[in-house]
Amino acid sequence: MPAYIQMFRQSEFHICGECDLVVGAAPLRVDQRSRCPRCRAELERGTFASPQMALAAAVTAAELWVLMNVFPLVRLSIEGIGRQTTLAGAAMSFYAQGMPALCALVVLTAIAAPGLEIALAIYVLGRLEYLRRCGRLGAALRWLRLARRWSMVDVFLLGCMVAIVKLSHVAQLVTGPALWASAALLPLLSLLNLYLEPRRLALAIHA
Amino acid sequence: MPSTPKSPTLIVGRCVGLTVCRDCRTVCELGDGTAVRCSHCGVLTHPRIPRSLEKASAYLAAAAILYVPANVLPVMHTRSLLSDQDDTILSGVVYLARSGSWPLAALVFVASILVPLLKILAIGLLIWMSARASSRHRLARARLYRLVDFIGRWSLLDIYAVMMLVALVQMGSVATVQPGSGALAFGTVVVLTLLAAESFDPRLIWDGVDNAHG
Repeated sequence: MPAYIQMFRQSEFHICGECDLVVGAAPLRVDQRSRCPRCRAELERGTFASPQMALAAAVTAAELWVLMNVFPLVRLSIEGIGRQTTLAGAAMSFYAQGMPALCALVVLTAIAAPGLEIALAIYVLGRLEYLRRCGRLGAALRWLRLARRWSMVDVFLLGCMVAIVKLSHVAQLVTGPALWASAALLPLLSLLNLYLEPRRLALAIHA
Repeated sequence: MPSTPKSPTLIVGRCVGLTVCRDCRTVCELGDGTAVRCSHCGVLTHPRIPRSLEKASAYLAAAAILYVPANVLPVMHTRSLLSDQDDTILSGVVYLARSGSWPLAALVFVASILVPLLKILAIGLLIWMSARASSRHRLARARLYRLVDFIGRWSLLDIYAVMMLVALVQMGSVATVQPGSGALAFGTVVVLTLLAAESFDPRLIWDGVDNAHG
């Protein structure tokens, strides 16, 4: 390894994850983001959020996640017969109809992955906030990346809307609290995504 | 947009014994080895995903095969007093368009039919050109990879829509909706293309540039 690279500290350069280029790093302002000069992949992004804000967002997200799972999503009535469903109930209907694989897929992407994402966010931010310098967050960061990849609340919400539009011609529909909770969850999750950049966290711990 | 610097100091991590952890983005010292445990999170980090092209093409081949039943088989059966009907993804789009919800019809068409197909073609193209170590259109390929990676998850939209219909419309003899085997095939296609994109290593697009630059 050339000496001039050895001299750098972690915080002073990036290696682009998408093209392996070694790029110098500079502190970013809130409205700035840095991109790889070669492949234009995003390297780092400035954020307006403070750790306390991110933690507050994560705790709010946890409450909304509970609401999303406890309350009914939609209530439908045709000719006086009513029926409502929760998120888990909807997933279980796949199971009841002989499609356990699809049930598992929905449970994983709409319930488990967002839940894990939020729980890990609280864990990581809480440790950074209250218990500085007490070891590594490696495993948590790894699971966070995985949970984030498979968490699809946004896609689920749009799918719900498609179903609601399809049904609205033949039945009366009342949107339930869980639907609103999942809609409110979206901006919080994207704020968490912005703040919880793995690199920002890794550096916060090394610091 | 600033142009790519053409300076000769284009340093590639692998050439100087450095690599970056996929999970926590920590820069790791690889030395002369083929893999290193990330100093921060302890995960085994390779300079390139091992057997990336083999894995990605295996997932992709499976996805391409299942794309046919996903579109031909019904994704749901609707049984009501008046009718008994099988719906494929395409007939669902037609139904939405006929009932006047053009934006939603377009959305479902793009998310469920166009995106999976284009995604399979795009990943195929990326794998093929990387396997040939092609030096053409590198930046365009990198952008294509990011687009595929970003957009792929939206194809699960139809699965959620079918799920809500199945969960809500269980009115005994009045109306019942059941999922069809097409839904299973379709869900599998989406998951397989997600896995293919995840196992394709975009750094392979740029390998060989460093040789050109010396």
